[in-house]
Amino acid sequence: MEAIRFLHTADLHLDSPFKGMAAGPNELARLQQSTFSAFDRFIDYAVKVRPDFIVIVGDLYDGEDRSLRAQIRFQQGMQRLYEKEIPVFITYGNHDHLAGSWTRVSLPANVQTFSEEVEQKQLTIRGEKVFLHGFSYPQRHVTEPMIADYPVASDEGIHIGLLHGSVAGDAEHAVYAPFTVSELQEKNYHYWALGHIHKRQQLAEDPPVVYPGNLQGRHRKEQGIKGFYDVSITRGKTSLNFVRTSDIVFSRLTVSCEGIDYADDWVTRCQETIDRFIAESGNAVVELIMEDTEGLAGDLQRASSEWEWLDILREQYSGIEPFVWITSIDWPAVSNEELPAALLEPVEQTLASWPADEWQGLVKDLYSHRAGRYLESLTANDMEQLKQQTAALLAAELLKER
Amino acid sequence: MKIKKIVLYGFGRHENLEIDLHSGMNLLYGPNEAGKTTIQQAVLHILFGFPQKNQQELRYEPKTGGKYGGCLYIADEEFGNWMIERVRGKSSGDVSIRFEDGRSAGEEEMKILLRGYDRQAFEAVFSFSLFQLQGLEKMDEDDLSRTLLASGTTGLDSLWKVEKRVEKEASDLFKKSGRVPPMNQKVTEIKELEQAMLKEQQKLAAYEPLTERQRELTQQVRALREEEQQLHSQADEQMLAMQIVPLQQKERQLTDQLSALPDVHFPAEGIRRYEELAGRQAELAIRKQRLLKEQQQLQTDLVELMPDSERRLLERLTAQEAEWHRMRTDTLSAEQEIRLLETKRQQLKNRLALTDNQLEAMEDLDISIQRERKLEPLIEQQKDAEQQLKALNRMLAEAENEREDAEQRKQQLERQAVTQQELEKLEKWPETKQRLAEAKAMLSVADQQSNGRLVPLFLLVIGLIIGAYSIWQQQWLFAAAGAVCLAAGAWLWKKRPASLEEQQAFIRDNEPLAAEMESLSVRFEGQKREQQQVFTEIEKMERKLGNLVSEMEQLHERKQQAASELKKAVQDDRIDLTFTIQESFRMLRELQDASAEQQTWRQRLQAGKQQLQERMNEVEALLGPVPENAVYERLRQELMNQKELLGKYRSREQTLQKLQSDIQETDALLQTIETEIQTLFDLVEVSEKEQFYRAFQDDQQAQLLKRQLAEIYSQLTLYGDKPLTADWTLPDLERSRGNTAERLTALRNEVTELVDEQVKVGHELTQMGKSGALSELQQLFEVRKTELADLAQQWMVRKAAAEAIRQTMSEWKEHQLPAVLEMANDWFSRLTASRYRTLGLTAEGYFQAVTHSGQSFQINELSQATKEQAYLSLRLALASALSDRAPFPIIMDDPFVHFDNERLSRMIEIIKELEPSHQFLYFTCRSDIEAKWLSDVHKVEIGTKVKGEID
Repeated sequence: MEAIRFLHTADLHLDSPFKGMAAGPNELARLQQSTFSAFDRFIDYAVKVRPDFIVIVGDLYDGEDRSLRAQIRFQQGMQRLYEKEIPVFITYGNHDHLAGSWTRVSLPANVQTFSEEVEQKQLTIRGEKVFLHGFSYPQRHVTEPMIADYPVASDEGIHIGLLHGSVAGDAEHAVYAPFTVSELQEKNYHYWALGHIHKRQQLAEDPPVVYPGNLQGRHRKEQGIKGFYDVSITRGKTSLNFVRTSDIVFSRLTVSCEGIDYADDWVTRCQETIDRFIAESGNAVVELIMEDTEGLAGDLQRASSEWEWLDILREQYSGIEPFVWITSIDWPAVSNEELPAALLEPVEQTLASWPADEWQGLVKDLYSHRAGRYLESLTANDMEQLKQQTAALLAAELLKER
Repeated sequence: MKIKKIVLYGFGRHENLEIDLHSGMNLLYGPNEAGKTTIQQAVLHILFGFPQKNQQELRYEPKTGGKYGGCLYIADEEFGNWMIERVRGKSSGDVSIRFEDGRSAGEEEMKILLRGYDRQAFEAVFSFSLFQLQGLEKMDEDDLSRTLLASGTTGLDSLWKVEKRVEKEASDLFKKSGRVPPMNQKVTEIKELEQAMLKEQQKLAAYEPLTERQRELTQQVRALREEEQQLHSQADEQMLAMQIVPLQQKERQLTDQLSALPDVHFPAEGIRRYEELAGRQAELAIRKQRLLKEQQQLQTDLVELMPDSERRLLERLTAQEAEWHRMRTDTLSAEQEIRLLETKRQQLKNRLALTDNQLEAMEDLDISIQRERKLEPLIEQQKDAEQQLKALNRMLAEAENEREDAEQRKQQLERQAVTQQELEKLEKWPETKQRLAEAKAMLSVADQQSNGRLVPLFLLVIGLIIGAYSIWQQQWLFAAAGAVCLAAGAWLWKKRPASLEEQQAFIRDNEPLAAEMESLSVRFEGQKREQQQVFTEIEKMERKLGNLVSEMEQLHERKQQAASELKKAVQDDRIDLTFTIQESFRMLRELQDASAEQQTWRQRLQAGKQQLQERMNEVEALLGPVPENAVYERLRQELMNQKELLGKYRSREQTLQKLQSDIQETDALLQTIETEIQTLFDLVEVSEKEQFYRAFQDDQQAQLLKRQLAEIYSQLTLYGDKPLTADWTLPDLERSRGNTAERLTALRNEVTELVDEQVKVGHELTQMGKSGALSELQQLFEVRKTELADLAQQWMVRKAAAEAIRQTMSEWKEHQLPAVLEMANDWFSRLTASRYRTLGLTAEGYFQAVTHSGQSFQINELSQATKEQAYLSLRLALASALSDRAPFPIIMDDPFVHFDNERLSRMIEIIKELEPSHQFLYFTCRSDIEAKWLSDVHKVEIGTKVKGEID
């Protein structure tokens, strides 16, 4: 019996803006194009290998402010699949829930969408029945565990679950249609096609419970190579093949500054690191982490601001292929040795003693201003970070004074 | 830390100055302008650097341009002894620090040696002049605290500076009500982006309705297209009908027309044949006519020829031409003769002065010679008598004249005593002479018959010439001769010659006498005896006159006698023949002869003329009136003419004969053609040409119709058997077609509009689909947000840093300031002898002094000295409090000048208390100060070595 072959992807977030990127317009355009490029690669692949069907588990678009362009690009992709008679099954996720009032672009007949209730869709491939179970988000938030509504698989055919949500108790992500791996396993499906979490991961082996991750990283936190899974199921046996689609790879690169005395050496070292990386991964958005900076001449660190060094490095990569964008350079904290401890210490102590209220009071001016609307509210984490940054600033400033 | 020695290489007015200092109080005394302040400044300069050249502070560079700078020797409890030297170099001077062990220190170490103090911080606490003590009242708590704290702790001021800086940076980043700071700008930008996004989304909201519209449009267009298709096929059918219906109609029409035409078979090429025949017929008819006309013309032309008899007569007459000419010559000569004779007659008649009657009578006149002889003597006689009479009369008249002259001369002579002798002699001469002259004249006349009259004329002329000449020459004698000549001429003129013989005789007789007389006259003239002459003359004249009268009477009688005799002889004649008988008779006879001869010629002329006339009559009978002299010319011409005509006549006769035969031939041909035409006519059953033609036209028409019909049939067959579903009439068809076309046009317009809209909508949709505007905006929005977040973070960090510093500092202030203040209070209280209890801060943060009685004064409300004292207390308290961290010497420039003795003493006491821990450099111009110090002081006098005027 021939294997049932399908492609599993999720979280396309087509044409969604890249967050936390303070890049120039050209770079931004390039970045924005990357979700499309990744999607096109996906479609190209599908057209090439002609799988039996495709599942897309939610978050095709970023939200209500999804662009028409994105929808049309999606539609065009679907059209290409339609032409190759490849069925596509879609569930909508929290980002593109059904309650949205956005313009909808009609999709070709090969595309089937799951409704807001968990439902089963069936298709027969080479005599083998395939059952797909899934639902679309009726609104932005689905916090109840929808897994309960999924039926237990019958003996007949192949069962695949489509679920856009997060594992219950995951503190890192907001709770959406929470589930536990064992709950999934209890359904006796052959494959769990998950969506929502952008980081590729396999929660279980048998049956495979898979987050394919998104097709293209969109954030400095969404690092590494992105893509989808090409899944083949023969009775009782599932094989997964990850296919890369990401056009641009987000990465954090560590640069050792050991033995560097002069600025140009530093630039060369950074370039070497970056070049090595892009030779391997192609287009990249990188953060640089500086290490072993002790030997670095003091004025290299202090004479120019962090931004200037960033600009110098960015200039090296402007307008070239592969595309490289350096988001930031991380310098290790300055050693306070040279500073009169007596001077900084009391201040640091004062800082450390601040409770959250103190911080809130401090930034009240800003948050009460309309600027507050566009700022994330401060988390404990943020405050801690701020403390460190403030201390670093003080140290740096005092150093300047000396 | 103490200054052991000040060495100035060159500073202001000081040059190579060395001042050793002790620990504790050092009193540096010098009068005004000694250079105290210069030294104080030198210390500060060496420690903290020369002021920048553009700064307000003086640099004290030596005016002499020598070495600039100096060094301080310092004993430092913490770092050991060291020396600081500052000389001219970079603008703050080149500094070098050396420790006792020879080690030198760099800039960094210097900072530590100076305990992180700069000049400003140092001056704030450790160096003050009277001037610097003022201005305390302007300080508030913060300033003071800062001043105190900053000056009190190494690096604390830098903390303060950092605070200031980050605070500024923070507010540069963001201001609550600002616009310019980057964060505010960013927020504005984000807001704008938000709005732009909203707008873009609204724009995209049109997508769905537009898609709907697109679908509608597609449907509508499809429906319209279908209708259009239908209309097109309808139009096609109508088009077909448009083509067929007229054809059908035409067919019907043609058939009708064809049936209306008679069905006659018109011979092939009938018209051509007919027309050929008719042409030939007409041609022949014309030919015949022409022949007939020719014939007629020829026939009429024959009349001109003469009959034969006449022609023969003409020939005869022509032959007699010579005769005719002769006759004419005869008559002409006769006429000539007659005319000649007539002329002669006329001459004679004129000569004879005959009237016509006389002429007639002359015929009968007797002019026989007998009679002539009979008459001749009578006439001669009379003539003579008359002549003599005449002469006598003349002589008489002359004599009378002469007598008269003589009489006059006599009277003249009498007056002139003219002699008688002369007169007598001359008395006879004139008579003779006269006669002689007369005779000569007569003779000359006779000699020269033709110019008989020329002699007297000649004489007259000669006389005139002589006269004129003599008068001119005054030759009176010649004048007289001229006069004579004249007279002779005149006489001769008048005188008619008598008989020649008589005269000749006379001349012969008197010729010698003339010469004699001439001489006599000359003699007479010479002898002047004229009187005598005159007398004789007169006498002679008297006699002569008497003689003459008697002679005249005689003559007259004789004449009378002759006249009567003559009268008797001719009394019967009608013509007076008497004047010259011989001539008259001769002429008369001639006249009579001429008349007779004339008569004869006349008769001959008559006969000639008659003959001519006869001939003329004959000719005119033949030719009509002819001028006589052109008769023969005409005759000859006529004869020629006739001969020619005869020739012509003969040829014409021949022509006529030919014509006749031609005419006959033509007639025969005409006959044939007519028959042929009739045959043609019979074929078409017509009798006339018009009918024939009509038949032809009908036939033609029929043929045409048939052809058209055939064409229409062939066209109709193209449309198949039954092409039309309905029977159309043209107007219906037109109407339907109109409707269809109208609908089609409307439909097309509609379609065009719809398609246009479709295109537009499609374009819009495509644009929307392609448009990255929203995504771009979204991305930009995210970017800006990130940027804002970055800025916010920076802002927060700075805010936090500033706040942390502030809090720390305020903590210090709260704990350390009170200690200083307490000490200051204590001293201030002591200085003022407890008049003022405390020096404290108001709630507003300003310094105030509280009196013993609890009354509080603002600093500026205090007296000058008290104010200074309060300040000094603060300063000293500060210095004291800082003695651990900043054990600097305290440098004072005469700050106590306003103090009274009591307070000065107390001040000195306080300073004395501080002496162990602090070195004091006290500059003063007051020499008495030393005395106030009860204990030992190290006194340095300044100015002793110094020269120059500049402070």
